[in-house]
Amino acid sequence: MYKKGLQLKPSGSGTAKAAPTPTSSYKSGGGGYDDEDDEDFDDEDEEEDFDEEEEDDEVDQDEYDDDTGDAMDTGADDNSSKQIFLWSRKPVPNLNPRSNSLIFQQLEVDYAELKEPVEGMPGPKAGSRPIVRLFGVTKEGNSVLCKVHGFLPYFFIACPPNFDVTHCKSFKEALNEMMMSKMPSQEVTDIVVSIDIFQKKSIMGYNPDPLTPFIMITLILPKYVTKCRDILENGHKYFFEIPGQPVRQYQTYESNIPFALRFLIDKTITGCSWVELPATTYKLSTTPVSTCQIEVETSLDTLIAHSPDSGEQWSALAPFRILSFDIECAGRKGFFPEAEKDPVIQIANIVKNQGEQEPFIRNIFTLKGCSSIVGAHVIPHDKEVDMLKAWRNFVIQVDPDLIIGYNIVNFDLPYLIGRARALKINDFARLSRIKSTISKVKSTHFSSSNLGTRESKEVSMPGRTQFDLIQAIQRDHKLSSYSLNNVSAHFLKEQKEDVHFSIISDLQNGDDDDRRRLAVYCLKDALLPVKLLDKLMLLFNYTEMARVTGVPLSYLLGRGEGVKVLSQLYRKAMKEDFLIPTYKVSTKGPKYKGAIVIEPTTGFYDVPIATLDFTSLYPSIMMAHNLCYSTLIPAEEAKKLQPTDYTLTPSGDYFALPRLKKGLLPRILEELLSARKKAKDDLKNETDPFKKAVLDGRQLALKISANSVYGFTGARVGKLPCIEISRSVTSFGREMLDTTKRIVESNYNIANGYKHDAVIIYGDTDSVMIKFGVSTVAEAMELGRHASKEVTKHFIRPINLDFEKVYYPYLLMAKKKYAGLFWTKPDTFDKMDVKGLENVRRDTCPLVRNVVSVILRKLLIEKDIKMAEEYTKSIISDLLQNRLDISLLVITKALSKTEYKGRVVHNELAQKMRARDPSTAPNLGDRVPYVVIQGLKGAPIYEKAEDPLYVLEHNILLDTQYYLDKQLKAPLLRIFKPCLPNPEAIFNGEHTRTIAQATLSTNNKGFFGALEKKKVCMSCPNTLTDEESTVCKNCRHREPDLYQTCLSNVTALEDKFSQTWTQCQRCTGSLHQPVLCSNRDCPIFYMRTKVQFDLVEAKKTLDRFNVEW
Amino acid sequence: MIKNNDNDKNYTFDDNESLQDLFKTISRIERDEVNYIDNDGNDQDDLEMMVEKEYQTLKRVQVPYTFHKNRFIDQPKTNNTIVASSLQYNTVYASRLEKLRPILLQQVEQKYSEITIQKILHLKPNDECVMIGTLYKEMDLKQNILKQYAQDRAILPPPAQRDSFIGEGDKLFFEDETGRVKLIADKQVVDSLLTGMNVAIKGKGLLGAEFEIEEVFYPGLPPQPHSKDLENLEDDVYVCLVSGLSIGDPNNTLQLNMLVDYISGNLGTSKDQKFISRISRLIIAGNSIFKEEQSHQSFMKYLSKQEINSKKQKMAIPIKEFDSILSELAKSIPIDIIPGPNDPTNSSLPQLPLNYCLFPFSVQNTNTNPTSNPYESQIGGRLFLGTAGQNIDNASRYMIIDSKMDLTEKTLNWRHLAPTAPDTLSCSAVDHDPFVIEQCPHVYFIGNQEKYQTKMIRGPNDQIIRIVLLPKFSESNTIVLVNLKTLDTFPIEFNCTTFFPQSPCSSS
Repeated sequence: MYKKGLQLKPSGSGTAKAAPTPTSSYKSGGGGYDDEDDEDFDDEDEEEDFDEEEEDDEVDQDEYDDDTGDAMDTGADDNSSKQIFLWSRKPVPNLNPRSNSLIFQQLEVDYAELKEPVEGMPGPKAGSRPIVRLFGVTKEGNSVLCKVHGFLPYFFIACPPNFDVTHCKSFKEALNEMMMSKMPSQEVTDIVVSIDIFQKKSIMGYNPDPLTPFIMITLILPKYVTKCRDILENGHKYFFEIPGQPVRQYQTYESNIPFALRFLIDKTITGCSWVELPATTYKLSTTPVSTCQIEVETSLDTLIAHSPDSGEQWSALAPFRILSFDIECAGRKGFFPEAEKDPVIQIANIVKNQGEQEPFIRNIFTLKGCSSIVGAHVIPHDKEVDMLKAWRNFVIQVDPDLIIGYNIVNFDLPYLIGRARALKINDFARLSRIKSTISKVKSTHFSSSNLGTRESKEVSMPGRTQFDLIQAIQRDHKLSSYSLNNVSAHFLKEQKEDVHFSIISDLQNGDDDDRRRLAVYCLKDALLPVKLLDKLMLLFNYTEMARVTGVPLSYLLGRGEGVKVLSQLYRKAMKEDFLIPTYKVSTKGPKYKGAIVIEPTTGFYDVPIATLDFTSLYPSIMMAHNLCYSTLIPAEEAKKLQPTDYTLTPSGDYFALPRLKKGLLPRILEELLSARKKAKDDLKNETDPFKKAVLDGRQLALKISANSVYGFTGARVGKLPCIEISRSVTSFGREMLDTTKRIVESNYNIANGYKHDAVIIYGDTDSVMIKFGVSTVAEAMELGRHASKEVTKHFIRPINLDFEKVYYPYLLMAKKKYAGLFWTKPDTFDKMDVKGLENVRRDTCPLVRNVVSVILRKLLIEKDIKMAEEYTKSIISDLLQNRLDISLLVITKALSKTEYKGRVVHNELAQKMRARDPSTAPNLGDRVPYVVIQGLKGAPIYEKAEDPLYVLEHNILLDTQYYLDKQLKAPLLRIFKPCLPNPEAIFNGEHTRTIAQATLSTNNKGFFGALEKKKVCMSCPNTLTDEESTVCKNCRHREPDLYQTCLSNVTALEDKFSQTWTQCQRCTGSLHQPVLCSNRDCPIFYMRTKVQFDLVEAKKTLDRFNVEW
Repeated sequence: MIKNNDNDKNYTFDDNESLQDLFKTISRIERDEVNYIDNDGNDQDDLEMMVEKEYQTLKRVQVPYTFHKNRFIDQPKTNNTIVASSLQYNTVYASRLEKLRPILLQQVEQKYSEITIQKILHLKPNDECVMIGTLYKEMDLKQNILKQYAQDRAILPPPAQRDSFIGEGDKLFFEDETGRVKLIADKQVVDSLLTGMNVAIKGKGLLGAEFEIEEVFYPGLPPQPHSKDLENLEDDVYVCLVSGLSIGDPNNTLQLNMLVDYISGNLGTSKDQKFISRISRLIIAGNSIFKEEQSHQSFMKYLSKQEINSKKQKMAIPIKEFDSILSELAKSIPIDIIPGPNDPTNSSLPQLPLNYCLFPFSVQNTNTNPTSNPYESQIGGRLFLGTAGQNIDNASRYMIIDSKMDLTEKTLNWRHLAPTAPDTLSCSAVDHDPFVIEQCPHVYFIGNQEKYQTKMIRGPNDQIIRIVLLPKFSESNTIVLVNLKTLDTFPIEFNCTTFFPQSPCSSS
């Protein structure tokens, strides 16, 4: 009997921003976690779901075998056997458990329940027992399922007074009886396996006393843990008492850790590490339950884990099989496709082995015929049912270790499974490696400040790790849009053709060539995730993260940050006999003061500004002051100790000095940071690009992990919050910043023989900006280096103030808003560094980002304030005269809920668009692009928002004043304020006087469309006679002038037309097919649409001049 | 030194004399001896009588002439129902391939009678076959509007025009309406081909949508029309070609005036004048107006109304001057005016004829004939085809060429005037491709080239083509005469120091 083991957690992307780097989000005082993220931590604390429906393994298995055979035959065409041969993995080399050891890299870990014992394996004599399943790949590329026997769930409670070994038996019986009565079961005879006493210590609080006894309670199956814990925590509710003890509530220890993770911790296995089963210690499964090539049974005790640090071969990556896929479905007009109604029409697949350059399978399953595609194998099907069946067989045959794609977790996989259910293809959902497991879709809601409310799904698929690129990218990168278009444009510099889903059905209903177009598009969507995975080194970075933190790969995307720290903490605690208490989560907790900012002295500094940074500020504070759960001394305890035994932190908390007790957290951090240093050193000396990628991923993972420790202690709804630690950290930070300011300003001044008085112009969290007054970068660097050494002397190691860079020039606008040229060597600057300005924010229109970045370039690089001013004026004039490309003015907001409180701009527009044409209107989760058009005076903004395409097609005038006042003005004023005496002047003056007026166009089918149009002189309001086509006789002399104006308009449009449309042809990769793309994230999308209309209009006007004589 | 031997009166002036002196001199010449060449009988009778009394009147030769007005531009425009949203370039390529496919097929079948002609779609690895389609060359250096709009849509200044866009990683693709394959060939072959060309390729299919080139077939020279007019051509008759007048360029007013006077017959001996009267037509091949090099600026500076007006006025001056020059010339000779990239008309090919409203004076004379660019006409039975030069200039940047002459010759062989349009050369999105050369011209000229070059080609089917690369007049002071009968050409250089234009007849 197998059951779903680990529950994938939905909190996923919500915690992305919670990665607490020392520079972000301390202000909230929540310990680096914003309030919105609290829910995520709630989710995370959810217990594993032990009440899963049960399925009968044996029966399913038989059915499965038959089915596979049939389906393979039906789905086969002429060369299918050859095809299947190509798809399959290499055969397993002869494996003899007696003489060969089995070595593999494990990727996925979960557990299952086994009804009967396997001969020769440890565990109870009869009844259900858990087995831990390790899925992995050998060096040769064969898939492995390793079932580990003999590991049972357990947890601790403190040993009450007068309880000793003699009481264990009666306690066991009492507890077992209680458990059996609460959770009756035929599978097991005893739920409580054993009660033992161990000498341990709680991690909470400094405790110089020797170890004390704790009771370890071992249960038969993980699903009983929650209940058992509840009984002990709330004995009075259950009328339960330990024999001989009064009824009381017991604090439980280590009772909420996922079972599989507990196994990894106990066996010191890290995520994605290599595991060895020595010869004779394992045996091949007699009745395999999986589709893995190698399935073995082994015992807990003989399994050997190889640490990734212990040799080059153990840090390598096995040749995993990576399947990337994408589906297309044909929705009905006006509706987003629904699995119950709308067919899946194409599934594109790319399969690649990790370590190889090129994918070895590119194919596409299509519904109805499809013209062939060079370089890809087209597999057409007449019936959707057959196609889905064939695809499932393909997946089983290919046997991927990793399934990747873009938004597959929330869309493609659930859709396929839902569709198969609608079509009653029973076996379709058997996509996992366990033959009997039917993949299920679970819906979860989650909210985060980052992504808004979203419905999130998870698909269970034991043995195959799902790695959804959208989740990884949302976690790691801040982008204005996470559409595949935008993401690939951003990282791969590839614009991709985007076929709007409303066209998809039309193409599907066309001929073979139309479907081929769709197929090409679908294939590209499957290929891009593979490219992204490579380009962003995601596999390297994530496996390294798994190794460093010790959690399986799937936890990294599926769960929050907390579990990573927890895993490390458990590992360390175990070695020292520390136990980690299980706390009830409470959302309330005292707020504490966040980091400090030294008030900025705003201005435009045309002198070098040296910047000193505390390296890894928060980790180094924790290390220097020995801040840990295990060193925290309660105030009353501290009174009993000598003041030389502890540190009193600025926030008033006491921590024991390392002399008494070295904290666990500082030691975890030390190890992380020294490992990082080593990785960085190795990186410098490494030349092999693959190993370089691994090392870089490693150092990055180590850095992120070190920084997340502080956040872990401050997360009020985390697993083990400790406000004393987190508030001490920030208070030390504040103090250090003040000290630095004092030392620098009192040392580097004229009184001490320096040429100038140094001034700290700004400081934030971990960095200070110093104006030494010197005029060259070299001098500033010299002084900066000197000062950093001086100041560092005042702090306890490893706190280190490091000289990092010089800003010159430096424009300081406000707190966290500054820009400057970044110098690390005296001869040239490295880059332009901009913090907190509109060009990095995403809720403004691109124009603002653009203008800001150009102005900054002019100010900082060209140092030409006049030019920056001129440029700004020209942009304002272009804006007011409506000469700007509309794509610059598009504002985008995600439609994250169906109902909003009040009238929200993008929701109103979405409704308006739905009324117009439901097929192209945005859906929930889409980003809604809009522009602001002219409306009635004082009309609210939501009435004036309009779809940019609609605006283009109907030639509607934009509310340029809105863009000037509400979008441009504030950021521009902020920049110019420190530079110009009267920045307001930029917004007034001659250049703001010419303003575009609404003109009647033939395209405008509004109110005036019904009126008969009379030809009017192009230069005055006179109506023209039949002979005249351009101007009236009074304006004759102006005709050449008008012609020239008209011409310059035409030529400019012609240029644009040619540039944009040829570019679109290049992107589409076809000269002979019309461009269908509707990629709204493409920077030229609106431009090219607009130019189509404008050019026709302009040519018509030009034609008026071309009279036959 | 200018000599007028006719009346034994010598007017001499030095090169460094001021312009006014020249004008004075010329007007004196005009006053003293009016050599009135006229092929226009409508002028006032009394003047004619007066002239006849004293001087012999030379009649300018007349030959049959048809301007192929609708060859490049559909007229009249009745097309009011253009669906803007369907304007795209795929139709241009489709019509190009449609026109040239049967021709390419013929070419292949001539050489290999039994070979499979394959659609790209059906290509399989290891297939040996011939495919017919359109080339596309992927070039990293090619201008890319997406790069210009960069990451965060910051508008970057457009990259400077470069002389060559050829790069190391250029890749060739081959496409028909069914699909696209990557072509595998030597770098040399890649560099010798252009995006937009229609060719047939013999080769072998490889794995991964690749095709190895063995042999490339071009459409070859088109058939040449024969006109009866040619048989009626008795004497030597000339057509004068000039390009790049650059009116408004402050450096070349002198030569321009000499040109006008020479063509009008106001310069030279009577022998010269007799010769000049054999010039039947003047073709001005583009860039008549001088255009200042625009300085590259990252943004358009805001201009006040006055600034805009003064700029407009400044722009109008050379056009007015051109008008007066044209009206002067048109008095004595018919003129075809082909617009070029610098001229005031639209910029994408085909360029519209210069508008009448710009030439209030000269248009009143029917001798003034603004034409499209490219240009096609029949003069005295000879088919003239020419452009202001954009097609050759553009193509030369995207392939390695021996010479512009060589490239020009190749375009005939490709039967296409401008393969790089629309990819890198801006052209209209129309539903047919006007640039396919379906009839072989007798005279094929390219305007605005660096130097004068000419070549006579004889085709396999008795085609005779005279190719002329016209130099820019503003730099070379050279015009070119083409003899309609023999297709011989003669350059005439107006040299300020050693002037006199050597008439071909006096030298031969």
